[in-house]
Amino acid sequence: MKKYIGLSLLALSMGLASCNDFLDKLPDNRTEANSEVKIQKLLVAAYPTHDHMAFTEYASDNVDDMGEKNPYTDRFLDQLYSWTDVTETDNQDPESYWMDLYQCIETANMALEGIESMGGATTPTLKEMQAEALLCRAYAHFMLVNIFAMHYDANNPNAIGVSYVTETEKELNPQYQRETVNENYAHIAADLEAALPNVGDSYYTVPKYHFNKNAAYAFASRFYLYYEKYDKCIEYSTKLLGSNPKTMLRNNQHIASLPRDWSAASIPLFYVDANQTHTTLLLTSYSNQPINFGPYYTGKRYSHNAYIGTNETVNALAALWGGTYTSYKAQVFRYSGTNLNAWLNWHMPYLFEYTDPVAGIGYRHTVYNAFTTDEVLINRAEAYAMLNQYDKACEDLTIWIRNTVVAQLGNFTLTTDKVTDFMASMDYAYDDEDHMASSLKKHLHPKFNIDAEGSLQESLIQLILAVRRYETLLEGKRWFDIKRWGIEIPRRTMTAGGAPASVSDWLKVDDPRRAIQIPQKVREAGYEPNPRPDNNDTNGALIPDNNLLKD
Amino acid sequence: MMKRLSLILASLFLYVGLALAQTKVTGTVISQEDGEPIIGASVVVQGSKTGVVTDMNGQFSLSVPEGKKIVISYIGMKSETVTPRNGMKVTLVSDGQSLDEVVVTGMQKVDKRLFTGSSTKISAAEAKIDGMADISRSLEGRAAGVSVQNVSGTFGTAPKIRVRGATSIYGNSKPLWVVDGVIMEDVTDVSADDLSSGDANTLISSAIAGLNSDDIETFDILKDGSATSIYGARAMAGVIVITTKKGKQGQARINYTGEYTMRLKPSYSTFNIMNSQDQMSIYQEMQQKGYLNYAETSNAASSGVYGKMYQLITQYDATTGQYGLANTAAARADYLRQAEYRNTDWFDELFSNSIQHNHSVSISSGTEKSQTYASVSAMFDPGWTKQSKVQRYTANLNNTFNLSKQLTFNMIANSSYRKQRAPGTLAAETDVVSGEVHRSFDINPYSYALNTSRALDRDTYYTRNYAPFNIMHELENNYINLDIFDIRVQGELKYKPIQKVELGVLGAFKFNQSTQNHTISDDSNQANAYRAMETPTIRDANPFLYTDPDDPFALPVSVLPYGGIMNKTTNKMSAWDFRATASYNDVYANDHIVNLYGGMEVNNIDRTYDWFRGWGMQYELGEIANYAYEVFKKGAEENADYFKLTNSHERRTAFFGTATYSYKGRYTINGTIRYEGSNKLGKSRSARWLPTWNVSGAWNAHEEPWFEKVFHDALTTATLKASYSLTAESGPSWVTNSLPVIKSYNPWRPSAGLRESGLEETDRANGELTFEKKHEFNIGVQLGFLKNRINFEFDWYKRNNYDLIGIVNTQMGGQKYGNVASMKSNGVEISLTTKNIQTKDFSWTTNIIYSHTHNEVTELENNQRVIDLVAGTGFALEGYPVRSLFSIPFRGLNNEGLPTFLDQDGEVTTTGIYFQEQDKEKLKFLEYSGSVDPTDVGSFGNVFKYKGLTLNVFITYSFGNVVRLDPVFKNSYNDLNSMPKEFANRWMVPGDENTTTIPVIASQRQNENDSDLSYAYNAYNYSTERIAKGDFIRMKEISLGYDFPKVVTDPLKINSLSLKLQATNLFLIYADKKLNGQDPEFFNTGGVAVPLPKQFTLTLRLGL
Repeated sequence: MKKYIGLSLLALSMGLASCNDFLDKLPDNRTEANSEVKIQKLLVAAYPTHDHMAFTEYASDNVDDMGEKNPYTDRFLDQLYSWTDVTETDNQDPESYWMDLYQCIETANMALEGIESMGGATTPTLKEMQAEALLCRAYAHFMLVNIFAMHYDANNPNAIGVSYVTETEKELNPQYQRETVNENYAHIAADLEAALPNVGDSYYTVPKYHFNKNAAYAFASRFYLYYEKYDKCIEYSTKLLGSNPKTMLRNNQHIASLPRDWSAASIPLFYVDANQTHTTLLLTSYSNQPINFGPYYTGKRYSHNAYIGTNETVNALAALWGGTYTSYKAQVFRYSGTNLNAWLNWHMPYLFEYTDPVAGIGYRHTVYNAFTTDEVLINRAEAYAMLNQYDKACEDLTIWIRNTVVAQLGNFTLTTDKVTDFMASMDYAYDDEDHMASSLKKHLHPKFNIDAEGSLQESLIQLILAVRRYETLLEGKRWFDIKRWGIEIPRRTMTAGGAPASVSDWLKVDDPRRAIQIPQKVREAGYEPNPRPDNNDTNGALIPDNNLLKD
Repeated sequence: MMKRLSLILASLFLYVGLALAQTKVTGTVISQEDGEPIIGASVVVQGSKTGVVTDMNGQFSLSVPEGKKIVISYIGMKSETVTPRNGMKVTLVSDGQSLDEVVVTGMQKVDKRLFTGSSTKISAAEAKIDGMADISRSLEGRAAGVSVQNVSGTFGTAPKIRVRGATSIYGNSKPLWVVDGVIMEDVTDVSADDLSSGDANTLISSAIAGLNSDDIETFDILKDGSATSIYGARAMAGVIVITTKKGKQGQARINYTGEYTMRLKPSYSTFNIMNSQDQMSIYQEMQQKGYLNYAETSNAASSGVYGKMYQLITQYDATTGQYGLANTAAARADYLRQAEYRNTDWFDELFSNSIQHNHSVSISSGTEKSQTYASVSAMFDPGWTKQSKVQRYTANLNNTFNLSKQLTFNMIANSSYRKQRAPGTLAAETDVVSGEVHRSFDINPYSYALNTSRALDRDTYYTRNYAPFNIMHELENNYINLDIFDIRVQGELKYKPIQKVELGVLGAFKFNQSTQNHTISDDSNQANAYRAMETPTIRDANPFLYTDPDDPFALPVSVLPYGGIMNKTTNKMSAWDFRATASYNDVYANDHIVNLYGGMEVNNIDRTYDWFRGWGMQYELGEIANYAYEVFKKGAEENADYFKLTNSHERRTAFFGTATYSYKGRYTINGTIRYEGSNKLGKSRSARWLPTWNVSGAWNAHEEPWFEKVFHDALTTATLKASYSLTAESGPSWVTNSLPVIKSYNPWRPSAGLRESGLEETDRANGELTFEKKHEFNIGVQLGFLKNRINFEFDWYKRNNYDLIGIVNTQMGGQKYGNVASMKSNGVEISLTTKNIQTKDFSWTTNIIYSHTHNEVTELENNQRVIDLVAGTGFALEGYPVRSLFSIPFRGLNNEGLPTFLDQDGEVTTTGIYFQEQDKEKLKFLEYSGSVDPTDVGSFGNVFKYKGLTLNVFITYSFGNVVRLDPVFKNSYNDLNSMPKEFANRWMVPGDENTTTIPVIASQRQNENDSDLSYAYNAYNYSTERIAKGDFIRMKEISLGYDFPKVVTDPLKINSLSLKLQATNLFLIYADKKLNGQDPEFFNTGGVAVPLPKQFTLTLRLGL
C-alpha cells in the first residue's frame, strides 16, 4: 500500500508540474510584448487619444462668459470655466485625460519591459523603440505634472507633483504616491536625455503620429523652456529649425488660398497635414474642441469674443506691425449674432467616426498638433530673451511675423526699440478701476527673476507670450503660460453688447486652482488630492494682487 | 452498468458467511420488467447475514439451513422472501422508485443512502415533452430549485436555466451540463442575458440541442455544494447530469417513436393590436398633426399606405398614359378606404400550421459479453414561421463489453447534424444616447406581425430604408442557413484488479462545427437599401450610401451597386477530455462502510470563430462577386472589420478525491476536495490553481432500530442531511487579466493613408485575480409517509458568493475588473409527491414542486448607466437582486400630452433624462421595479392512470419577477407601425392628462419645438408605466396516453404499442393584465426570437 501511495504522490507532483506547462497556453489571441514587431506595434498605443484642450482653454483668459442668458453651455463647460473641481463626465474631462496619459505610460513601460526581457536594446531598431517609449513616458508625465500640479519652481522643492510610474501595473488596485514637481521634472529630463540620442525616423510607417526626431526636439524645446534650462531649449530648438527656420514654418500663404468653407475642411486639415513640415507630432482625440471652438453655436456661452480678439489677441498683436485681423495670411473667422460672438481660428478638423451609420452614432474626433515648428521658434525666442540675447529673440520673432502676415507687410523687421515702444504704448490689463479692461500686456509674476516692468526683457517676454497665445489659440496651451508666468486672470462676464460687465472671480498668483484637481474617481481610489481651500475665500477676492512687481 | 454497480454495492453490505451443514439451493433471479436476469441481486438467509450475490446470469447458489427462508433484494426492486427450492426462479418487481436509489454525479454512481448532497433525479420518460426537440426545455417545473425560462422558443436557443438562482454578477450562472460523464462545452459563449437577445448566435447556444431526447434515460440535477463539489471549480451554478440509454442483456428490442406536432398560429384576438380601421383613423390624426404629407412621406426612409399612395400618384405609365393613382381627392379617399377595410392577418400570412415530425428508431440488445444500444433519429420541421425550417439527424451508439470479470469497456459515439434556416438578422444595437434598441433590417415574422400595421397589403411593396420592401419577398431573399455538426466519441475502460478496487480511464473527444450563412440576395430590401437614391433627397439622406471624404465635391455613391451581401460565420470547437480514476469500496466488520474515490482529469478545448462579409455577391447571376472598391475604402475609414478570426483555448486540469464513511448506512459523513487549474486566468501561476471542498453528513433515521417501533407505517423513511461547501467558477469568460491582456487594434486616424495597426493593452494586469467562489450551507429533509405513498422533500440553503468579479476604480487604470463583489442568497425547495389513489386498475399521483430563492448583491462598485438599468434584463446594484430592473419615475402627462419624469437632478422633465448618466448618487432617481429572475417557481402535476390510459395535467408557475412591456411608443410614427389598443386612450385634448397616462401622438410642431423628443418617448418606454409583473400560471401540458393491451399487441406480433396526444403551452391561467397577450417568459427582441408555440403532439411508440 505504501508503495502505491508513494507512487501516486510522485505521479501527482509530476502531474502538477506538467500541468503548469499545459496551462501556460494563452486563452485567446492575446499576445505578449516579446518581439521587435510587437513592441513597435505596442507603441502605437502609447499616445493619448484624449486631450486637455477643453479644460485648459476654458480655464484660460482666452474666453469670457457671454452672460447667463446665453443658452449654449452645459454643466461640464460651466465647471471648466468657473475653475470648479470637475464632477461632470465627458470625453474631454480631466479624468479621461488622466487615465489616458497613465495608460500611455503603462504601455510605454510595457514596451520597455519587453525590450529588457529580450536582453536590452541591442539592435539599432530596439534602441529607436526604447527611445520612443521613453519619450512617450516622459511626454505623458510632462503633461500630467503641468496640468495636475503647480508649475515647476526651482526654489520650491516641496511642491507636490504627480506619480512618476516606471513599471507596469501588476496588482488590482495599487496605491501610488505623489512625487514633488522637481522630482518629476528630473525624471522627465532623465528619460528625455536617454531617448534623444537614439530617436530615429526610420522605423515608423506613419512618422508624424509618433515621436520622430523633430517631435522629440520640439518636446525638448518646450520642456527645457519650462525647466528654465534656456541653453538646452535653444540647442534642441535649433536642431529642429536648422539654418533656415522659415522653411520649417507653417505655409500660411497656402492657407490664404484655401476655401474658407468649414464643410470642405481644407483649412483645419492643413493645420494637421502630416505632409507639412510644421507638423511634428500629431495626436488624435475624442474631442468636441472643433465644435465648441468652431462654427457652431455649441458651447458659445464661453467664447473667444470680439472684445478679446480686438484688445488682447488678434488685433492687439497686429498693432505691432500696424495692421488688424486682416493683416494675417490665415485670417480669423469672426462670428456674431444672437448669443454668438466669437473670433476663431480653424486649427483642428471636426471628424466623425461612425460606429452605427444608420442611427448616426459614433465618436467625435479631432487631430491636433502636440507641438508645431512655429511654437519651437517662439520657444527659442523666449529662451534668447531670458538669456538677454534680445537681438536674436527679435530675429526669431521677425521670421515668425514675416511668415504670418500678409505679403504687403512681408518686409517687417522687429527691433528691440520697436518692442519697447510697442509695449510702452499700452496699459497693463485689468489696471482700470473695475479691474476688467483687456490688454495684450499683463502683469507677470513668475517664480524666477526677470527685469522690471517696462524693461526690454519684460517687454520682449510680453510680446513673445502674445505671439504664442495667438499661435496656439483654442488649443488650450495658453493655460501653461498663465501658470508659468504667474499671470492673474479674471472670470469676466460680458454684456449683451460684448463689453466687460463684471468680474466674478480671480485666479491669483498662488491660487491652488492653478493645479487642476485630481479627478474625482482617482481621488476616490485613494490618490492624494490637490489642496483646495476649505472655505470660499478665494471666490470672494475680487481685487487682483498687482503689487508684486509694481514698485 | 447499474447491475454491475450493484455487485459492488452488494459486496459492501453482505458478509459471505461460513456455510454450515445445510441444503444447497440454486436458482435464478429475473426482473419482471423485461424478463432479464438480475446481476448482483443479494440473496440472504432470513435473519442472518449469510448470503450471496447473483452472478452474470442472475444465478445464485446458497446453502440454507433447514426451515429458513431466503430474502432476495435488489436496488430498485421490491424484496422477496421465499422458501428455498432448488432450481427456483424468483421474479423481482420494480418498486417504482428505482431511479431514486442511485444518484449519478456524472463521475460516480452513489447509493442514495450514502449520498449527502441535494439532488433531484428526473426520468426523461416522465419529463419529456413530446414535440419539443430540445430536451432542456422539458426541465421546466420538474425539479425544485431549477428555473427554466423559455426566453425564446426557436430551436437551438437554450432556455435560461438557473439552478438555485444567480451565482455571479458579470458571469453567466449557467449550469454545467454533463452527458455520460463528459462535460458539454458551449461552442460559443452566449451569456445568460444574451440568450434573450434574438441575435443569430443564440441559435447555437444550446449545448445539448444535438441530443435525441429519446436516447436520454435520466437527468440528475445536482444542486448544493456537496453534490457538485466533485466538479468544484466549475460547478458554482449547479450541474445537470444526463445519462443516456444503454443496451441490456437479452433479446434484441427495436423501438420506434414518432412524434407529429401541429402548432397553432398566434391570433390577433390574444393581443391588443388595432385593426386596420382603427389604425387608419390614427394615421388620419397623424396627418392632421403634420405627418404623412406628400413631400416627406414620398421620400421617407420607411413608409406604408400613405407612402405607397404618393408613389402611385407620381408613377406614370407611358403605355397607358395613366398615373398609378389619379391625384384627386376621391381617388385618394378610395385608396385609403381600401386600406381601412384590409385587416390583413399577418399571423396567418407569416405562420403556418405545418406538421413537425420526429422519428426515432432505437435498438437495444446484448449478451453476457456485450450490450449495445443504438439509435437513429430524424426530425423535420417545416417551420412554424416562414423561413424557420429545421432538419436534424442524430445517431447514437453505446456499447459495453465485458472483456473479463475484471475488465469492462464502454464506448459511446454520438453525432448529430442540423440544418436550419432562420430569417436574416443583424445583431441588435442600443442607442445609448436616446435609449432606443434597434435592429437594422429586422424581418422577424413574429415581431413583424405584432408591429406592422394591418392596413398594409401582403403583396404590395412598401418602403423601408428608402428601398421597396415586402415582408414575403424579403423573407424569401434574406435568410440564414445554419449547418451544425457535432460528434462525441468516448471510451471508458474499467478494471477491477481486486473486488474492492476499481480503476477507470475515460477519454472523450468532441467536435462541433456550426456555420451560419446569411444570404442577402440581390433583390432583397437590405441589398437595395445600399443603392437607394431615386431622388436627390433620398440620396442625401440615405445613411447606407458612401460619400468620399477625400473629395469635397463628392456625391453619395453606392458601395453595393450590384448583387447582394454574403455573411458567413463559423464557430468551431474541438475538445478532448481525459480522466483517470480509482475507487475503493469496503465494509469493515459489517458496519463500517468506506467509499473512497479519486482521480485526475484534463480538459482541452479549442475554439475558432471566423466571420466574413462579402460585398456584391450576385446570387442571381451565377454566384459571382462584383464589388465596388469604395466598400473597402469606406470600411477602412470607418474602422470596420472586413473579416475576423478569433482563436481561443481553454485548458483545465484537476485532481479530486472524495471519501465517504457510513456506519450501518445510518450515519454518513462525506468529504470532497478538488484542486483545479485553469488557463483562463492567464499565465500567472498564482491565480490559476484553486482548491474547493465540501463536508457533509446524513442521518438515515429509518435505519435506526427504534424507528419502525416508533412510527410504524405512518412514517416510513426519514433522512436528514447537511452540507457545507466551497465551490467556484472561473468568472466571466472575458475577465482573464491576471497578466496584462494585449490585443491588436486599429487606432482611429483621419484618413486611410495614415492608418497603422497597433497593439494595445485592453486590460491591465491583476495579479490577484482568482476564481469566483461560493460558500453554501444546505439542510435537507426527506420524509416518506405511509409506506412512501407520500414523499416529502425539503431543502433550505444559504449561499454566500464572494470574490465575484466586480468593478474597481483604480488610480491610473480606470475601471478594472477584480474579485471585489459579493452577494448572498438563500432559498427553500419543497417537493411533495402523493399517491392519492392506488388500486389495481386506477391510480392518481400528485406532484407539487415549489422553490423560492432570494438573492441580494451585498458589495458592488457600480458604473452602470441609466440605460443599462432600465433596459433589457437590467443589472445589479448594491442592495438589490442580481438582475434588477429599474424604471424612470413617471410623473404624468403635461398639458401638451407629453410624458414627464423625475430626472437625475430631482426635477420633473420631459426630455431631460440622460440615459448615459453613471453617477452613483444621481442614479438614485430610478425606481426599483423588481428582479427579472423569478423568485418563486414550481409546478403542480397530476397523473391519472386507468389500465392502459394515462392522463397527465401539468401546470407550471413562476412568480416574483417583472417584465418590461414592449417599447411601442415613439416621438413620431410612420404609416408602417401598428399600435396597441391602449392608443385609444391616448391624450387627445388638454385636460386629458388628468384621466390618462398614454402620451399624445406628438405633432410635427412638437417635434420641431424639441428636437430631443425621442428621449421623452424612450424614457416613457422605460418608465414605471411600462412595467408589468412577470407572474404567471401556465397550463404547460395536458396529455392523454394509451398503452394498448396484450390482447391487441400479441396478435400483431409486437411487443408494445402506445399512443399519446399531448397539448403543450395551451394557455396562461394567470398573468398580469398589463401584459395584454405578451408572453411573460418571452423577450420579443426580434431577430430570430419567437415564443414557444401552443402545440399539439401525437406520439406513436412501437416496440418490436
